[in-house]
Amino acid sequence: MSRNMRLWLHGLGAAFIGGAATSLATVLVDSEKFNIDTLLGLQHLAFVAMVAGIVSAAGYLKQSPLPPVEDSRTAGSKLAALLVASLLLGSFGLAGCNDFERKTFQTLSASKALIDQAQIDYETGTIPHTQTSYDAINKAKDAQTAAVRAFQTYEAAKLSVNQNTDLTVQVAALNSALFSLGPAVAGVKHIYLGEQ
Amino acid sequence: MSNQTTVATIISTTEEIQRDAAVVLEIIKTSYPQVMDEAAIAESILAILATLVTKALAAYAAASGTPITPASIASLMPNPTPLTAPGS
Repeated sequence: MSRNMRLWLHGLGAAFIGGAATSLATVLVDSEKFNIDTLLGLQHLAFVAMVAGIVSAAGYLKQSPLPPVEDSRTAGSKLAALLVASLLLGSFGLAGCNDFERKTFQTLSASKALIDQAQIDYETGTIPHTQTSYDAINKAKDAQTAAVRAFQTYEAAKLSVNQNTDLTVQVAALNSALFSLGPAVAGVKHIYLGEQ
Repeated sequence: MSNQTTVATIISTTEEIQRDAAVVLEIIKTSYPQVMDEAAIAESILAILATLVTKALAAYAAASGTPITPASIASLMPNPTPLTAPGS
C-alpha cells in the first residue's frame, strides 16, 4: 500500500471516528434514550455514532475523494458522480490544448455514457420517476445534442474548405456548448445523490 | 502517466472503494440487524454510482483510441428515445 493511500485511509478513518465521537453529545441531551447503561440505549447511541461517522466520512470524501495520484491531472477529482463531473470539467480545461479534438471526443463519450445510463436508470426506476429527474435528464440530453452538433459543425468546417480556414468561431461555439454541458451533467449527478 | 492509465487507475480505485464499503456495510448489517435495510440501500446506491462512474470513465478511455470521423461524432448523440413522462 502506497504512502498516499495510507495517509488517505488514515484521514478517512479519523473523519469517521471524529464524526462518531460527536454522537456522545446525545448522552448529554437525552440520557434516557442514549446511554451506555442499557442495551437499547447503547443501540441508539451506536446508530447515531454510525450515521454521524458516515456523514463525517462523506464530508472527508468530498474534500479528498481519492488518494493523490502522482503525475495525474485528476488529483483533485471527486468520488463517484463527483468524480465524473470533475472528469468532464478537467477535460474542458484541457480543451484548449493541441489535442482539442481528442479531448472533446473523449469528454462527449463520457457524458453520453453517463446520460444514457441515467436514462436507463430512470426508465427502470432505479432513480426517482419524478419531474425533477425527467427535467434534469432531458436538459442533459439537449446539452449533449447541442455539443455534438457544435462538434459536427467544427469538423465539417475543418474538412470542407482548406487548411487556412479560420475555425475561431466554430471553436468558440464548441467550447460554449461544452461549458453548458458541465452544469447539465451535474444536474444528473444531483438526481443520483438525492439532491434537488 | 498516460491519460488511459490514469483512468484505469481511477476505475480500479473506485472498484476497490466499492468492495471495501461493501465489506463495511456487511459488518454493519451483521452487527446491527436493526439497520439492515438502511445498509442495504446504502450498498445499492454505492453500486449504482460505481457503475455510473465506471461506464463514463471506460467510455472516456475507449474514446482515446477511436478515430474521429463524422460517423463516430454522430454516435455521440444521446439516446434518441424520449423519456417516459413522470406519472405516466
